[in-house]
Amino acid sequence: MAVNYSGGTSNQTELERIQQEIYAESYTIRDGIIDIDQNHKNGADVYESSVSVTVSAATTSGVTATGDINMKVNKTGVPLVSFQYEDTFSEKALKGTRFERSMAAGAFNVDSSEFDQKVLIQVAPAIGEQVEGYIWNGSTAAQKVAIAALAPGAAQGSISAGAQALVAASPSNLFNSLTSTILYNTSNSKVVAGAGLGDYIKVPNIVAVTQTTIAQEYGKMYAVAPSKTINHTSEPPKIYAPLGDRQLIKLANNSIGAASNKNFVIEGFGATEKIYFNGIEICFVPLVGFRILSIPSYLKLLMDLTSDVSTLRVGQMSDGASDRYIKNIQTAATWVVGQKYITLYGG
Amino acid sequence: MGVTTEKTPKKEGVKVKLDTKNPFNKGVSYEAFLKNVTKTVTLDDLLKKADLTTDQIKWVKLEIEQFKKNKK
Repeated sequence: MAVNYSGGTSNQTELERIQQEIYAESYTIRDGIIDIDQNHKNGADVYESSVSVTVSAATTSGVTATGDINMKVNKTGVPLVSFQYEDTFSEKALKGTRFERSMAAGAFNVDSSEFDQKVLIQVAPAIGEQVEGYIWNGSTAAQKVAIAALAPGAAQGSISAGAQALVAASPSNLFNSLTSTILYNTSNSKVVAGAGLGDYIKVPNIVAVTQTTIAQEYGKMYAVAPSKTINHTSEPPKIYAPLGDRQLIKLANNSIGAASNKNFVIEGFGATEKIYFNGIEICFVPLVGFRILSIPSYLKLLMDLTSDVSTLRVGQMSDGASDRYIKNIQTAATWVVGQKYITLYGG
Repeated sequence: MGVTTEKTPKKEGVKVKLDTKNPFNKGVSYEAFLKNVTKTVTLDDLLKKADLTTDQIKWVKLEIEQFKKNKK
């Protein structure tokens, strides 16, 4: 007996799992690899202090004003910037798909709980990845102009032409990244207070960082870093390096041949892996071209609330619309203190 | 003949000449350094006379190349 059917076929099964994009994790905030300071709305005053003393031969006479003990403190106001991610959306385009099954009965209801759980849920990590990038790479348009206007030179106390090119090629963001702030800032604690080049230490004579040069380039950064930074045992310094350096380091460490030399110490595996160069832990972040050797608390991220990064407001639009809105607002600024102890490779 | 920039430290009130023929001297910009390049004095001549290491020369040459690109 023949079977006669017309009307086409449709798949009767589906993969339960919807493959998600990979989003780089926000290590900076999650792991607190720099100083993250919350509860700032509009701006924050940052204070820095130092004391210098001069010794003199002891006397039995009364103490006089010598100027031998100089106590300095100064303040810099750091403005914070608010930025947002927002949109409206309707899930009516999902009717006729697997998501329709999770829409509540009633013609008005076109919101799929499965879509919310499996797709909408990716908005927060996508924002987190982007903000993580902003913390380390990019400048405001005004900052780019200011950095381009600096007179480049080879000596310490001047920006390198290479740094200016990296900044020019970096994204234009709503707030300055840490690298951008290290290069140019308005700190009153610098040798020359106010707007201008940062007091950072730059690494001269650098070459392109590759599998074969990475150890020597890290060596240059380590060698030029202030010994006070290297010996700061109460809060040991860290090296902040581009994400790609992890691969270069492992390729370099596992190179084959007579020149093979394990310059980096690698401990652990996966999420618990730690990599060190000359005893200094390396943190891999979305830096582009630059590397930073610094005491962690000298690099600051000022925010209203760190949880703002992953806080999404989702709700129904007004006036009977079936569309929904989605919104995320954050407030942030980067800042640096103790600038003369910060080494900026590529600066 | 090289170009020099003069700095006047406030305390002493004495003019100090800044040697711009060595790009690694503090306060010397690439712009000031390149003013020493003339028809008869090349960049290589200047770098050689400045008594720099091979690594320093390599880097400064790259930097100057980048500096010229940035200016365009």
